[in-house]
Amino acid sequence: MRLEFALEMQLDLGARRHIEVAPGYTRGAVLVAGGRFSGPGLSGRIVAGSGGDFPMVRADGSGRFESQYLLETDDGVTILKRSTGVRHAPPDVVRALLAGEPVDPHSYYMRMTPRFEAPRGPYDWLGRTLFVGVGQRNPAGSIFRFWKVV
Amino acid sequence: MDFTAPTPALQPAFRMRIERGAALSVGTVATGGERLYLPVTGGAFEGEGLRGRLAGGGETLLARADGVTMVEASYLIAFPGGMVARAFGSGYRTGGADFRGLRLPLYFEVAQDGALAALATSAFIAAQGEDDDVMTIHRII
Repeated sequence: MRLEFALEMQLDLGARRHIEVAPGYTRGAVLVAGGRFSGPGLSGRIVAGSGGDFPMVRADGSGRFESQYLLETDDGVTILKRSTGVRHAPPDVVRALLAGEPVDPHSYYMRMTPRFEAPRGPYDWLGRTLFVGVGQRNPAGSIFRFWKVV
Repeated sequence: MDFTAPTPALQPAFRMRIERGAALSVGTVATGGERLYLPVTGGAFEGEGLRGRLAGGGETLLARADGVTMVEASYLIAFPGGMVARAFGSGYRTGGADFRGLRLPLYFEVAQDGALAALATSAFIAAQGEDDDVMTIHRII
C-alpha cells in the first residue's frame, strides 16, 4: 500500500460548544462556517452550517473526533464527508491548542480516515476509496490534507 | 508562524489471521444492497511484541449494486493475562483492477489505564487481498 495526495481542505470554524457527557469526558461541537477544498481533479467549497467537528475529549486532552459536513464541488455536485480520527499530544501542547495558540503540527498526532458519499459520476471514486488524513489546528480554523490509499 | 503539517506514511505494525463462519444474509435491504454478516470464529493477532487470539467479533457487509461492498468490522482480541482489545472500523471490499480484497481503517478500544492503552492513540489501515492468508495492519504515522 502507498499513499497518493488527494486533496487539501481549509475549514473555517464557528464557536465551540461543549457537552460534558460524563465526568472527564467532553463532547465538543464546532460547526463549519465555510472553507474551500482542492486537489487533483476536484475543487469546491465547504457548505457553511452543514455540520461540524464533534470531538470526544478526555480529561488529559487526547481523544477521538468525528466530523460530518457537506462539500459542494465547483461544478455543483454535493458530497457528504464523514470522518473518524485520533488526536494525541503531550499535556502542554493540548493546553496551547485549546487556548487557540499557534502550535507546531509536528508536536501532536492528529490523523483521520474520512469517508465520502458521492453520486454516480466524476466523483464516485470518492465513495470506494480509503483515505488517510493529517490535521492541523490553527487559531482560526483547521487545515486537513488527505491521501488516497492505493 | 508558518508551520506545515507532517506528511503521513503507513508503517507495518500487526498481522491478523481471521477465521470467518458462514455468512448470514438479511437479503436485499432498502439502503441499496444485500446485507450480510460474517461472524469471526477464531484467528490470531501478532506484532510489536503482542500476541493474541481472536475471541469474537464480526463483519457486517452491505454489498452494493455498484460492485462495492461496505464493511463494518469489529474484532475482539484476547491477550494472555486476560486483556482484551477491540479493533473496529468501516471500509470497503473491492473487486476492481487496482485492488481485490478488503481494506479498512482500524481504531482500537482498550482499557484506558492498562498495558494496551497506547493502541488507542494511533489510527491504522488494514488490508487483506483476496489471496492473502492474513490481514496486515499498518499504523498511520
